[in-house]
Amino acid sequence: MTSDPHNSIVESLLDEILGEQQPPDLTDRILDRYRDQDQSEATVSIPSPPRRRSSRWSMRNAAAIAASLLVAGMLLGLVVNRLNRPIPGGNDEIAGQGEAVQPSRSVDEKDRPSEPSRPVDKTPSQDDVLPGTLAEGDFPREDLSPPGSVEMAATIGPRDTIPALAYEVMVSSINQEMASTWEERELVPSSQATDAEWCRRVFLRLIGRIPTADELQQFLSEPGGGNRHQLVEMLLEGENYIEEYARHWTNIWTNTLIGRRGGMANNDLANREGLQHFLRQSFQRNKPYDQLVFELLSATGSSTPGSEQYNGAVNFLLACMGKDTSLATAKTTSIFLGQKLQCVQCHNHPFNEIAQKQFWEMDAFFSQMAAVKDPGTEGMVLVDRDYSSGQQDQSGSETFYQQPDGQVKAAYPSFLGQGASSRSGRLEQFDRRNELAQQVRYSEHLSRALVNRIWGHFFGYGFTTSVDEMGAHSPVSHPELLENLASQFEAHDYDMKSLFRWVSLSDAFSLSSRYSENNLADTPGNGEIPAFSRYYTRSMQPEEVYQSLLLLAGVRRGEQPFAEQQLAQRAWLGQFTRRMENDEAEESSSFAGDVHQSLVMMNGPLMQQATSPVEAEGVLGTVIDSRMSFQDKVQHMFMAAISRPPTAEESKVVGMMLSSADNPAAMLQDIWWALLNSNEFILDH
Amino acid sequence: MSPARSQDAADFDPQDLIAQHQVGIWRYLRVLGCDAVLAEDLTQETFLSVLRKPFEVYSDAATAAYLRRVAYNLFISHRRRSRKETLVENVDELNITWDRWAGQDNGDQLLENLRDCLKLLSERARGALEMRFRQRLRRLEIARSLEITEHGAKNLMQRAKKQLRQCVEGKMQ
Repeated sequence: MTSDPHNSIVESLLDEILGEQQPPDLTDRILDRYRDQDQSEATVSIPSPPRRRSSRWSMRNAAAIAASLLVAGMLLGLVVNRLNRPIPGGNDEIAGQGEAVQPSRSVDEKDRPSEPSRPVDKTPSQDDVLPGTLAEGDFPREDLSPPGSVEMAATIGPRDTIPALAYEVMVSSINQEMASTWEERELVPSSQATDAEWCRRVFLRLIGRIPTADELQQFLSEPGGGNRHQLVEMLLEGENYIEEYARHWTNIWTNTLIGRRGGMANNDLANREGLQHFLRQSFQRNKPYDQLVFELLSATGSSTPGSEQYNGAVNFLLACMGKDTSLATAKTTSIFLGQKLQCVQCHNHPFNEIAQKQFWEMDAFFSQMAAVKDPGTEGMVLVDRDYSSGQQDQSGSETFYQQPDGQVKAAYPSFLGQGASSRSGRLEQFDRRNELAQQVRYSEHLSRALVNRIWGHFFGYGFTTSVDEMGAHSPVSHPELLENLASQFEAHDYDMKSLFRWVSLSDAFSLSSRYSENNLADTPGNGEIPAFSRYYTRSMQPEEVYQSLLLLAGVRRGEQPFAEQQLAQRAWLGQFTRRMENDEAEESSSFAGDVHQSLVMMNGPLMQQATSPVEAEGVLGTVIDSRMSFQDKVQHMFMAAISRPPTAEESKVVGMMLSSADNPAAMLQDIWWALLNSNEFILDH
Repeated sequence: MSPARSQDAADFDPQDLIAQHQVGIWRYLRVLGCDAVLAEDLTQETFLSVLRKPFEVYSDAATAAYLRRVAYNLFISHRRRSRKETLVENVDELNITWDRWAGQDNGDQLLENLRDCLKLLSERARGALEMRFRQRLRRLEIARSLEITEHGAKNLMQRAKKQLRQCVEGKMQ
């Protein structure tokens, strides 16, 4: 229901007129149930399920259809040489078998957002058509059906929508779910974080840096404590923060999509700057997430800003292109769908319900994609062109993969085993990548994976052990909450800011990171399923440390062009990150408390700048030049670095130092250096 | 509200009650946000719930209002069972509007009025609504089809719905 009742009425009637959702005649069904009820009341009262039209399918009909299907299946089994074991959920299952009897769903089940009509492969599977064992290069093309005759009934479209709920309702929903988890697991949540702690963490999570002492003070000085909702709104929507918001989420998504080193080397197909330019614009405009993903997967054009064909979105897939497109498949499924498929690339996984065949069917969506030199720049252009496996009439649109036992199999585009609208390799008949982008966009996995990823960003742990792996083998800590957030994320048109708002204003996000004996068991680091009964302390991301140090050093990067800011950040981050030459293009970071990090933090150029008293714009220079009392200066530095005033013990130590100091300015510099090199500074707590 | 007519229990026919009010209840549930299937189920539940208890007809309007209240309660308890919360702050306003617009005839006249009003829309605006409600296209797809921005498509549909609302209100007076 929309907020305006008139609109709700108009929309629902438009649905009736245009969408042909006519009111049914329920008289007979209600009367039948009413009479049944009357009779059964004399014996035992069992609530009867709602009757629907499908209930007219009697068990006799169902049995007859099931028997027919069984016979048909047996005959089919005699005809074809079925060498492969059936894949659960794959195309091998007899189409329609599950549709013969549709048990009446309960009301609760039906209220879930309806799933899109999933395409059902009505044709024998490719495994059935192809002979089992082939020598490489000896493919039985004569056995393959011509393109077009095996088109699948793919239906792509938006899922049924549910009413979008207000943020207060969503926050309350998260709170209720968390409270019931704590009760179930007999945990007592930690006390509330202080306003200053909460302020620091919400700055870090939403815009990627700690608050300045002034920002913190302004928040704390509001009557009755800080207005948290107002602060979240300011960070998400305020004009003063839009650049920092966009930069922060650009950093996060660049790292997610192509890593910290992607698109930087001379021989990289992708252009990091191009991708960041695209992402930054997307976040500045608050582009809906489903649109962002669609553009990343369907983009064509040049990688490099300045080119006439420039389209920064192409850089995600360009970064995934190598000798084949398997990395694009692996990254697409893990990042956008929460399904990690690298393992099934080579073999059916013992614990993953997705089989090897399905990986290569997904991969076939990328078979028309190619990278060519951009004549206008030194960059690359991502294009789509007709795909053919070798036959001259291009009916051979299959791709091939090898099973662990040496058999070579054919694969056609199919989205997680659910088919596609065509098998053609001709671009004018079937744009495979565009179809994949549509399938991903309307997949139920898209919103779930994003919600899980964002939850992980805010709390350090997602609802599953790995946010990239949400298969059936990966238990979800809060399944109902995940579903609720995902469906509401869709109802809010994939508005990421809405999701950020709900999570950052939840009770769980406002808990202290201090644990007690009553919630010590809630320690995900020990392998426990997270209950979020406290805020899990963790290291800030290198980008967050860098941006915070810039702020404290008084470096006004905001006045520089974005590309130059990113170059400077890359140079600093490059000290810690190394790309691993594995299939997943993973990276290792030494920003985890090792000697290298310690040296950079103690003596690196940026730290020297931040702790230099001659930097008039920096915190230290400002404090030294101010007319504040010595105690106030110290307090200001504590607030600026670690968002809290000094404790009594710390004040006592400072007092002792002051009594023996010849040069108070030098002493302030020492205190400042110690604060920036403390664990507390680099921790998000 | 004074009863317009009281009726003996012997005269009461559940079939009449259902036939007379089921469309209104189904539409009311749709307005609350139920999809067609859920509205169908909750309409059944509403009548069964009412028929379980002694029922006395005072007036059609009172009966319709009572049935709507039962339907609304069932909808809310269903939402609670699903652990979903529902915004209730504008339900009173919704009830008043529904009563004014559709209280007399289950919304049949309103539906006809809306059909007429649709014809008065520009071809472009009507086309956008057709794409949204008939073809179930997303806003971006509508925008692409009309070669306008997504924001433009949103505005176009909002303006169209506002026009429809004003037109319907005009016909109600």
